[in-house]
Amino acid sequence: MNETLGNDLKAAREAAGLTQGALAEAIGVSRKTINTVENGVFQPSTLLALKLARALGRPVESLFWIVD
Amino acid sequence: MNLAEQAEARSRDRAIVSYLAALILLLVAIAWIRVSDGSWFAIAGAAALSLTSLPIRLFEWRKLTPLLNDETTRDHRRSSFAAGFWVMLATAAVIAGLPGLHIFDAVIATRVVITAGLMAALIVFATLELRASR
Amino acid sequence: MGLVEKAERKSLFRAILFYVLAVSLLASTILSIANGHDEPNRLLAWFALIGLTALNLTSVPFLFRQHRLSALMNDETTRDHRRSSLATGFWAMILATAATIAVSSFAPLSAIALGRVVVTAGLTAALVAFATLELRASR
Repeated sequence: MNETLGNDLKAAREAAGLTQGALAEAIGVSRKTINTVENGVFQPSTLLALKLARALGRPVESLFWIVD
Repeated sequence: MNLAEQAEARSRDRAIVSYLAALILLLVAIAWIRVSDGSWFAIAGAAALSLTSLPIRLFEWRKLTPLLNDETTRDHRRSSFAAGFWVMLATAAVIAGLPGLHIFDAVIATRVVITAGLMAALIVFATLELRASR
Repeated sequence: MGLVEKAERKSLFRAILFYVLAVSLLASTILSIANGHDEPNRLLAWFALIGLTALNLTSVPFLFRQHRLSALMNDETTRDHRRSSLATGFWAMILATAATIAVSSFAPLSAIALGRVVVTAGLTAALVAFATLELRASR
């Protein structure tokens, strides 16, 4: 069981025309949180993942998935 | 017994062993159990090692390992390190600051500091694990 | 400047401050042990320094500042970095304490010196780990 979390956050954010800072401000976190989640360095909590999905108007499953 | 039940049983065993390790460290520190310096190092080293995921990776059945080292356990481990950090910091600061304790030589003081830190970490880890299993 | 940029600036400043604190603490401890300064009045200043340093490694300062900027400076990533840094500090203290046992056989240390070494090792490691994680996350 060596699954990791994949994400499409950067593409989704850019498609929405948002900078990392703008997205961070929208959901009330720092820019480095957005940065580390996009780079796969930091695994977001469920709450953070749902907030991101809501802010980008995407289902959370389309933003984050399990990489086997 | 399925895999999840086996892991739960092992996890409870591990928590009890952690409590026992903390108790042994305390008894050795207050000299209720007398051990040589080398033995003390081995006991403290084993206690410290048990706080990592290394024993599980090395000695457990491969299918059980991910269940015994899952997200919750890793989170509990980090909490235990935080507890150990603060307790060691406070203990070392007290030793440095209280004139009455300056009669101890550094070797005894090191044992006190390590014992305090490891005990805190072991007890916090075990308590979190058992509480999560309820 | 937006709130996020302000928070980023302050976080950057905090990381640099932590590096400076770590170096100061290390220097102060090395000098005091080398010069044998164990007088109570000097210890008081040292206690003040470690007390403030330790406080900065907690989220306590943010409890009294309930506004959005503080929330951004104490968000999920920062809390995660803080926990990682405390783990680093824990292991640094274990190693430092064990190392003093070895050193004591060649050069006997006082309990005060030991206390200072252990506290310095723990706090320095935690500060450097936290600052490094924060800076790396901002890149």
